[in-house]
Parts: sequence; C-alpha cells; structure tokens
Amino acid sequence: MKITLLLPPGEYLKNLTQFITGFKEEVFLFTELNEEALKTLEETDILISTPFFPLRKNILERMKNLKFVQVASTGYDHIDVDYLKSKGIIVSNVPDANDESVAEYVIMVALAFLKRFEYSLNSTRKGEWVLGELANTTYDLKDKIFGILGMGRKGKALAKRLINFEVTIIYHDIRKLNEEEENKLGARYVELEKLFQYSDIISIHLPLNETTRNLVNINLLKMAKNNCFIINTSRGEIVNVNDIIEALNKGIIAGYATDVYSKEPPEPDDPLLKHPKVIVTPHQAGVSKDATMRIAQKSFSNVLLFLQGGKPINQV
Amino acid sequence: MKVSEAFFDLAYNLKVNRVYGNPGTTEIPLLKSLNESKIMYILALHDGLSVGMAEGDYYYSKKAQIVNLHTVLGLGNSISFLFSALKNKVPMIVTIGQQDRRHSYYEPLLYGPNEEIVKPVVKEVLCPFVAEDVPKMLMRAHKVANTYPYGPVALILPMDMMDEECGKIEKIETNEFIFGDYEEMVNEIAEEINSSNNVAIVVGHEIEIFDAENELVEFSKKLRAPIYKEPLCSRGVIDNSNELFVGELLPASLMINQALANYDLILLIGGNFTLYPYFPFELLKDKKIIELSYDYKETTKNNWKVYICNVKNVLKKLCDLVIPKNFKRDEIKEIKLFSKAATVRNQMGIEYVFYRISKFIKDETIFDESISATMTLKDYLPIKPKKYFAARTGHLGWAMPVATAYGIVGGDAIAIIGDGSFNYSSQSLWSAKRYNANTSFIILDNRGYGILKSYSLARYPELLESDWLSPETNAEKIANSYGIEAKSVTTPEELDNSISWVLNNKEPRLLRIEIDRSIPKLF
Repeated sequence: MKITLLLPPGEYLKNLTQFITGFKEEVFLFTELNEEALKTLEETDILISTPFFPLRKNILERMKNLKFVQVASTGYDHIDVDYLKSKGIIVSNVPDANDESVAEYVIMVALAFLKRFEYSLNSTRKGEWVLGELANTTYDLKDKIFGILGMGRKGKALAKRLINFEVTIIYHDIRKLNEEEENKLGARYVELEKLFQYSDIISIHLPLNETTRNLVNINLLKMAKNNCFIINTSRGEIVNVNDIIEALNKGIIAGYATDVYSKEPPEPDDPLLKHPKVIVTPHQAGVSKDATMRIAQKSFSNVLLFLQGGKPINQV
Repeated sequence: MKVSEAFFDLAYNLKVNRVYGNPGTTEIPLLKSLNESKIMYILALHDGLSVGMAEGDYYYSKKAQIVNLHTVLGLGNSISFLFSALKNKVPMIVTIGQQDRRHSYYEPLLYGPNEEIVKPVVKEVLCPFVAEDVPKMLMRAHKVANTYPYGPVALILPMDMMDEECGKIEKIETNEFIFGDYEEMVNEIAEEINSSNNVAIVVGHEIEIFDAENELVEFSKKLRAPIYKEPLCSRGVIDNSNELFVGELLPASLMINQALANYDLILLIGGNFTLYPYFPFELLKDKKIIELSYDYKETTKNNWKVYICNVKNVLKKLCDLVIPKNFKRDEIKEIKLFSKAATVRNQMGIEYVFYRISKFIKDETIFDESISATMTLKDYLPIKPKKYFAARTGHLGWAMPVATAYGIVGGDAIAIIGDGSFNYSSQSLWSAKRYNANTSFIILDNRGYGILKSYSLARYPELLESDWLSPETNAEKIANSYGIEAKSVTTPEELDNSISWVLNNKEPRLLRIEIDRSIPKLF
C-alpha cells in the first residue's frame, strides 16, 4: 500500500513526523502538485488531501489504485467526491477538529474590528496617543446582535463561545434547530433577510455549493445595517467580492473580514487585500498548531482504521 | 336592633362577601352577629395579613370587603398593609375594635389611640359617638372607600356600643359621578399632540382602574407613539407584547430624564413618576408634559399641565383626532431577552428562571414581590391588564396574603416572591391551606436581601459581608409545616418539571428556586 500526503508547505510539517514514521506502508509527502507528485499519485492507494490542492476528475482518473481519500479538513469541495464515489472510493473528512479554532478566530476579528485593534496598535507604535479618538469610535461586543449564517458544527461552536460575551445571537440555516438546541445555545432562528437586517456582526459558516455561491450579494448587503461587520471563514465564493467592495465603498456596511478567497493565495492585486475596511488573513482560522495536530491525529487514525480493514469514520 | 346586627344587616345589603381578620376580645361583641351563611369570616394568622387578603379579594371580586382589626395592637400590626392598600388605591372598610368606653378614662388593657394611629394610612377615619351613627357611618365608609381615588376607610367601634340599640338603614345610596364630554379639553390635547413631532406615552395604574385598557390600545394604535409604563407600575395596564410598548421607566429622575430626553411631548396618562434613589436632577425639566388623571391630590405635586378627567373617556375621544406618528419598537427585543437568559442558564440566573417560568404561565394572575428581580420579571413574564399586581410602596410581605386571598375567592394566582419577602408573611400559607387557595407560591431564593446588597454594592461596598444582609431560611420546610406541598429546585435541568408541578395544580403549592446569588447592579 502507498500513502500520499498532499499538504501545504510550512513549519508545521515537522510535527507530522511522529505520525508518518509510524506507518509500515510507504508514505510520500508533497507540498506542491508537481510532476513527481502526480506520478506518485498514480500509484497511490490512500490519499490524505487538503483544500489547498484542488483535485478534479482529470487528475483523479489517473489514480487507478486509489481506495481511500482522507480529507484533512472539514470542507471537501476541492475534490470531486461524486466521481470518487462512482468508482467506489471512500472519502472521509474531519468535520470537528478545528471548530473551536474557527470560533476563536471569528471572535478575535470581531473584537479587532470593534476595538479598531489594527489602528490602535499601529498608532501607538508610531508614538501617537489616540486614546481620545478610540474612546469615541470603539465598541464592546456585549449587547451587540451577532448573526451566524450556517449553524453547523462551527456555527454552534461559535455560539457556544459567544454567549459569554452577553450578545444576542440570531442564526439562519437551511435547517432550523429544535427548541432545546436553541435554548442550549441561546440562539434564535431568523430568515436570511432578517439576519442581515438585524445583525451588527455576521459570521458565515456555510459549505460552498450551487445554492451558497454568491449568496452574499449586493441585494442582501443592502438590507444590512450600515454599522454591520461581516466575517467570512467558510469559502471565498460565498461572498460576491465586487458586491462587498461596493457595499464597503458606499457605506452600506462598515467592514469585512475574510480568511478565504476564491483563489488561494489571492493575486497581489486582489481588491480585498488593500481595502482599508477589510481585514485579511491567509485561511488561518481553522489551522492553528493545536487544530492541525487534532486534524492530523484524526486523519491518521482514520487511515490506520482503513488499513486494518475497518470502516473509516466521517465518510462524506 | 342591636348595633352589631344593624352593622351586618347593612353589610349584607352592601353586598360585602367576606370579613377578614384575626379577632380579639374587643371584636367579639361585633362578630357575634355575623351570619356566616351570608358573609364568610376568613381567618388570617396575623392582623396585617387580613388587610392584605382583603386587597387580594378586591382584585378578583372588585368589591370592598370588611377587615376586622383587633384594636390598637391589631392596627399596629396592620399599618404597612393599610399603607399599601391606600397607595394601591384599594377600597376596603376597616373596623377597629376599641375598649369599653365606660372605663376608657383608665386606659385599660387593649385601649389605644386608634384614631390618631390609623389616620395617616387610610383615606378617612370615622368614629361614631352614638349607637345610631354606626350603620350610617358604615354606609359613609363604603361610599368614601369606593369613590376614586379608592382606599381603605377606618371605622372605630367601641365594644360596648355593639350591644346598644339603633335603627337599621333601609335604602342603599351610592355616589354617582357624571363626567362631562370634555370636548374643549380633548381638542386642546389633540392639538398639542398633532403639533409635536416626537411623542411618548407614559401610562399608569389609572388606565386599569378606569377599565381604559382597550381605549389605550386603540389610541396608541392610532397615534403610533411609543408607550412607557410609569416607574414601579403596580398593575398590568398593557400587554407587554404590544407592538408599541417599550418598557417601564426606572424610578429615578436621571433615568426618567434620559429615557424621555428625545421626545418633545410626553403624555402622562393615569400614572405617576414614582422616584426611589435620589439624584440631584430636576424631573423632566423644560419638557412639555400633558397629564391626564383623576387623582387631583397626586397631580398637585407636578408642575405641568394637568387635566383632571376620566382617562377612559378622554382616550376614546382622542382616537378620532390624532394624526399618526411613525414609531416602531425594537423588533428583536424578545430574541435579546432569550439570549440573555441563555447566558445565565448554568448559574440559575434570574433571567433564565423567568424565561422558563414564562413558558408555563397560562392565564394566571401574577403577584410580584420579587423586589430586586422585578424589572427582569416584567421583561420576561407575560404581563397583561388585570393580570399583574404589585405594591406601590416597596412593602415586604405584601404579596403572600394578597395572592392567597385572590386564590381563595376564585382567582388563579401565582405569587412570585423573594426569600426575604416570604419570611415577612409566611403565615399566609395557613390560610391558603385552610381555605384551599388556588395559589402557586414561587420563592426566588437568593439567600439574603438582594436589593440591600445591590444598594450596598453601589454606595457602601464595605457592608456587603455583613451577616444581617444574608439571613438564610428554607421556605420549603416552612411550607411543609403549614401542610403545604412544597419542593426546592437548584439546577436548570430540574427547573421545567418543577415549574410545571407548581403551576398545574388547583391546590396551593410552593416551589423554592435557588437562584444565582450574584448581586444585581440596580443602583
């Protein structure tokens, strides 16, 4: 059996050694999808994949030995699951290992926006004492209305943490939670338009599909409060970039934070990167060192389970 | 006919249903003529509670009942309840026994200056000098008590007079009030409203006393202006789910000024700006205020335009004359409350407890003496006209007897009371059991005096550790000793079943809820 890992480059890879060396099987690690990687994939039985390397049908067709794909993330829209399933290849993901990381990230950027953290930090470093200005232009999270778009695992992890900030939590999802779940989370269902109409902050936690692509467009944004701040940690394509730029420029909304882009890394001239009302980060929300280790541990455990003849968990 | 017989003969004709009391020897000469098949005697284990019970009876029956107090001592025990009945505008006839006049010179045991003591806490004191006066004065007391502003009227009855002879009253007379059509007044008010851009309506207890709830709803629908309730509002007045209802004002000049700062006209309708903590700010200085009220005594405190009138009639007429404004209340107020409740679920915070209680309340009437939690209660529980009562006096121990009597005479009552308040009048449970009151007692136990701790926290934090702020008792055990079914709940997991247990019952039950003992920031 051959196992291939397609992972983005970085220091964190050192931490994976303990897992990789534990296998008796041949293990190959690639950090870019070059010719050598493609050649290895052709003979691979088990693939550990991440959203950083899209694998469409034309590549997957060449992987004649492939039996199991372990996606080392929650999202799996980078890979042609329908094709793999048609070939009887099992696909699993890790749906819950970084929920907490994403939730913490969302709270961090929400606070950074409300407290004007970047401006405060930069001014103070430059020797400018902007206390008076900040006293009149920064806000608390307490008592704000926090809208969660998509109440899956990540949305719930966020709600669970937000409640201690004494915010009002509303959410929209294709599936309304039952009353007991709502009571536990302290979150109430509202229609999509109402979510935009009421919220001071909106965090998006949706999967990318044909229904959600470009869901956040100018029509929806026009319903938002002009102090509204939107956070996207799900997929870049869910938010229409031109529309969000327009909404920011016209003062329809106050700010946008994105951790995700339709192309990653984004082109240097991507309008989001330089916009003064946009907070940008490199798809880091769910990949802290802690989360990475949890994802690795769950991914490798599932591969081991498959190798031992077991049925992998979290099949998609 | 003996005086005692003439007294009750008239009481039957006045349609009095019940006498409340805890008699002593000075009252026996009167009570010997009570025919219990016509008027029921309801025993309280403390004189003061009998006044509270007569108040609760009134809220259900709408009739002034008789309270029979045991001379100066029983009167002394009842002062706070009489004061509350006076402030709450509840009519009742309070008989106070007096020693035998033939040796009053010696100031014998049980003799006392009843007239002087009772005067400040009743609407009027009547002291018959001769036997013939007694039935006439009962008639007069009944009229005075039932003339707005309603209130208790005291009738002092020397014990020896009860066996003297007197005539009986054959004809019952009542005072009838004819209100004018107010045409000029109404046009004037409408003109002021229509020439203002931003109008706030502040409503109070008179709306309910004059049965003007529907007129208020119609008027506010027409005007589309925000509705506030008077501070520490003692009545339901308006459904708190009404789309124009914003909330209750806080009882402090600073808070009232802030809440109403943006309005150019304030319509104060049948209410008062009750104040509690002192702030050195003049109330609503330079604001244009129009007040409608029938309580001329209350209104003389105010330095703004007052129309003495029946608010029901005026509101009805104003409906046709006002031009609508465009107020919209916060659409997600309910969700905000829900989120706040969820925040404090694990520690049994008061918001969560009330939120859960709200899920089980049907059409019961709420008697609120939750003191430090009362503003939260009013946010979370369904407050409706004639379905919510509280004391206008800050009286501790008030709600237990009031809710008990309301449940005895046919109502479905919930008393929501702090543990501190409960200990002032826990004897009410005996009457609740004896007369099978349809009353549920919910004791919010924060193990101490929350309101005092809150005040200390704001002004004198060094007092917070004082032992005298935190007396701990167990209402469940006390209730058991009176034969009342009771239980305690300490966790959110048990809460729903316990609330359902205490509310879904026709007999009296008590639920003690251990709530978060964190000190609320009220000052």
